[in-house]
Amino acid sequence: MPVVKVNEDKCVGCGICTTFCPMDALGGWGVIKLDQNICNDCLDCVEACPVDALETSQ
Amino acid sequence: MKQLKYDVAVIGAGLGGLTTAALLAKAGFKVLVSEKLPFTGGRCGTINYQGYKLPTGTAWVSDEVHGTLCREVGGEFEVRIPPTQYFFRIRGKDESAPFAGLYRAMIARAARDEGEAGRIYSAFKKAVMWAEPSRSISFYDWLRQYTDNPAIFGVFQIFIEMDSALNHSELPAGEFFRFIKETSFVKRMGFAPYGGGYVTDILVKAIRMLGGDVCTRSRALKIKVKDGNAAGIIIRKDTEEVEVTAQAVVCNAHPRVAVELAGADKFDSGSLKDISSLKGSPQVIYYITSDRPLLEDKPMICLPEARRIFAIMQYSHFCPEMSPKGKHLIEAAAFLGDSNPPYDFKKEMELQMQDIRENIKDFDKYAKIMRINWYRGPWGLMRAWAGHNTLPIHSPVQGLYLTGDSSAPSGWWGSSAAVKSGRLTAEDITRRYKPA
Repeated sequence: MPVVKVNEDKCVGCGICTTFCPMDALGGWGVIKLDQNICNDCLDCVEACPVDALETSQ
Repeated sequence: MKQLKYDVAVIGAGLGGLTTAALLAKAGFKVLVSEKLPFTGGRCGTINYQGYKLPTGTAWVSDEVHGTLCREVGGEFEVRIPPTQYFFRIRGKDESAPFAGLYRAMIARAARDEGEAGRIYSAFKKAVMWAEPSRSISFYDWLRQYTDNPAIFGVFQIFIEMDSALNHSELPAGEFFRFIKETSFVKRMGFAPYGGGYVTDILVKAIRMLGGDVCTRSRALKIKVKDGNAAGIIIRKDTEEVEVTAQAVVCNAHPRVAVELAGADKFDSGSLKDISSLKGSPQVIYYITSDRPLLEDKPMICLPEARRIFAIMQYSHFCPEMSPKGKHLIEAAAFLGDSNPPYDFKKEMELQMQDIRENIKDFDKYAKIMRINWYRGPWGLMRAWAGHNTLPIHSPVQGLYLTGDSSAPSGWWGSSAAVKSGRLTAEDITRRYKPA
């Protein structure tokens, strides 16, 4: 399964990913934080990020 | 690879790209708009979230710029001008502000006496009617010649921050007055009924009605350049790669994306330098929800004397469709102490929260912060700092256009700049190309 990570150098904190996350696993301000314990790896946030700051790794 | 043929391919469904595509579709061109995200509109969009409609950027539009465009391509358009006037909270009192004659009225209300108001307004009028001030000083430096009154500076900080997302010390003085002159025809300014997405939804619908295509979740992978001319794009739609042939390509994504997709070797060094020096203008937007109205009957309060928050808007007052029945949606907008990164997130947030608590009565008792959206860097509220660096719509690659707020004439800012840039692009394409 791919694991989603926030690339903090790229994230601008626009919060669009948080509105697409079905699990409410993303939050914070300035730079978004992802709670790996809640994330279900659906990748909706990866698709919704305007600056490609959500990345997947195996 | 699957092959498709269009007259014009547009990368990015932001306001600029959709403006170009809608106008070209109206002129008989077959257009494709390819958007990588799952929604259209970019920073002029609206996202549905927990029953609320949250703007992804601007919600502030005008009948003259956005309305004229929507009607031109066959859409119906409405702008919500708050039924009561705006308010400026000065020295603890909420002063109502008229839209017509706004600058003069606000100078008078913030001035210590009539002499000060007269002095500032004369200088202001001269800068508009006669000599545009220099661009080598900031608006702050220009105003400092006439006053040291913090309330006056605060009032202008709001005007400038609201339209350019810069501080008054960061905006070239001449650019502010150019903006006033260029946009003097705008009289009916207000809110789009459910945020910026209201405008871009009209454009998407128009493009489709006129035979064009708008595809979301379609990432552009490459801009094809043949013999020095843009020849089309390669996109990935779902998992499939598609080759799109076109006479011209419009990049409404950040100009850096155009460089990446076409290849830096296709751009000359001057253009690369201008593109790499683009800076996004930052702002922070709070979306606050509540079961009761929190600004009494006021639709919008501007805060010239606050630390960071410059305006609080109670959307439920004039755009009830943005919140579920019985709920209220409030937006608080903040500037940053310095628009240049790096930002001290913790300090900025502390100052923003102090302002929110001081200016929204019973905030801790009744309100809840739903989202705090930062706009900065490549996703700045605007792509280019107003008055600092404006790109031409023509890239060094023939047939490849750069469209968006960073490619608009001086004096055009924000979503109006995106529309202007989109219009200039469409006019140029109509002159040079013919529908197949």
